[in-house]
Amino acid sequence: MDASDAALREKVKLMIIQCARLKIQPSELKEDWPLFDREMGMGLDSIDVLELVVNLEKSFGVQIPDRETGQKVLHSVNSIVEYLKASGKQS
Amino acid sequence: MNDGALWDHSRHWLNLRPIYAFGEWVLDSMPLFVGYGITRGVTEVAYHCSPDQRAGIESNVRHVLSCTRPSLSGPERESLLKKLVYRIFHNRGVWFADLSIMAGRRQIDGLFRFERSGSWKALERQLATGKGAIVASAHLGNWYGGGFAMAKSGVPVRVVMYKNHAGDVMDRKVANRAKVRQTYIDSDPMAMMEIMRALRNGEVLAMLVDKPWDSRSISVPFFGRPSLFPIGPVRVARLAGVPIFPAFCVWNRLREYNAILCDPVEVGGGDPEEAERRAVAEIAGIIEKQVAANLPVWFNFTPAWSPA
Repeated sequence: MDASDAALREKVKLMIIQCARLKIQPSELKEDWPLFDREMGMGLDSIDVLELVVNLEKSFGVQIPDRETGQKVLHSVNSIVEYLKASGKQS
Repeated sequence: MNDGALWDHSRHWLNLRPIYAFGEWVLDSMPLFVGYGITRGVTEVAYHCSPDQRAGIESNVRHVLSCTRPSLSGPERESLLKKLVYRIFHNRGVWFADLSIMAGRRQIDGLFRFERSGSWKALERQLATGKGAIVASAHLGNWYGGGFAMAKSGVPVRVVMYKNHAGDVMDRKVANRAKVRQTYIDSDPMAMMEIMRALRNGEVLAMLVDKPWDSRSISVPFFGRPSLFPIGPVRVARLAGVPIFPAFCVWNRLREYNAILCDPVEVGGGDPEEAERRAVAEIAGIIEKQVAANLPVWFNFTPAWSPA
């Protein structure tokens, strides 16, 4: 993992923590945790989806066009980072 | 404080899919006066056999009367309260009958009349910007009728609702008949993507906002006491940058409704959480005025406040 990749991951984690008003540090947010799984993951809900989508647009200039893409992209920190990288957003 | 016991009413013995289906069949296949008559009989039984629901309405209406009719003596208030609770049950029966007619196969053009009042021009202006709006209603009057009226006047309406109650099949039938789109938000959080896209495409989202559906709620004054209201609708409005139009559809007389659209509430400016709290409080205040003016059709069977 290079420095820009690490910075991007950190930024995504901070965004998730801020959007979902989580009381944790970025280091505590595991990158493969399912964000919307109540039992195995972070248990985010539908309002958090909205916050994340709007903040991804504002902070990174990327749009998530539909529900299906949302399901794939918003799965975990890793999947968001991959989507940002694929969209040419490195940091 | 209402602690989110929303589904209490769903456990009522009448709130079963076969009952909804039977109601629809009765109102569909028999002359209307017979349908309304049978509904009245069933409602009478429901009134006598629903102590929890009666107690819920009683406690709500008692508090409202203490705010709106402070000059009444204790016995006068209790006497009025009894009459009102009885009337509310029977009005709910009419509500059920009208809903069954709307869901059924009967030709309904000309059967229902919807008069429009309030800020409909403001809604038109908002839609002309290309962005949508949120229409926030309450368990007051016939909220389905409001959606019906809106769709019939050419407004692109999408109702946002929960699936897990017995009336959901009827909800869907009414919505399909009125050509109202539907989004269910209880099972898949990604449904919010659909909601956001709808608002950006200029659709009007219709939601019930007077009961906390989940843990996302805040406490604001309602008839002078703190009550929980959901935060979701105002957050959607803030993030999408659209106004909220409180709306109510109340009876003028049988099958004649007044679809009231109130002035829009904006959710913005300064601290986002404070803006949301202000907007929820403003909406609660508007609902309060409408409840006070239309108490016999306030169908809130769960306590709106915790016991003092």
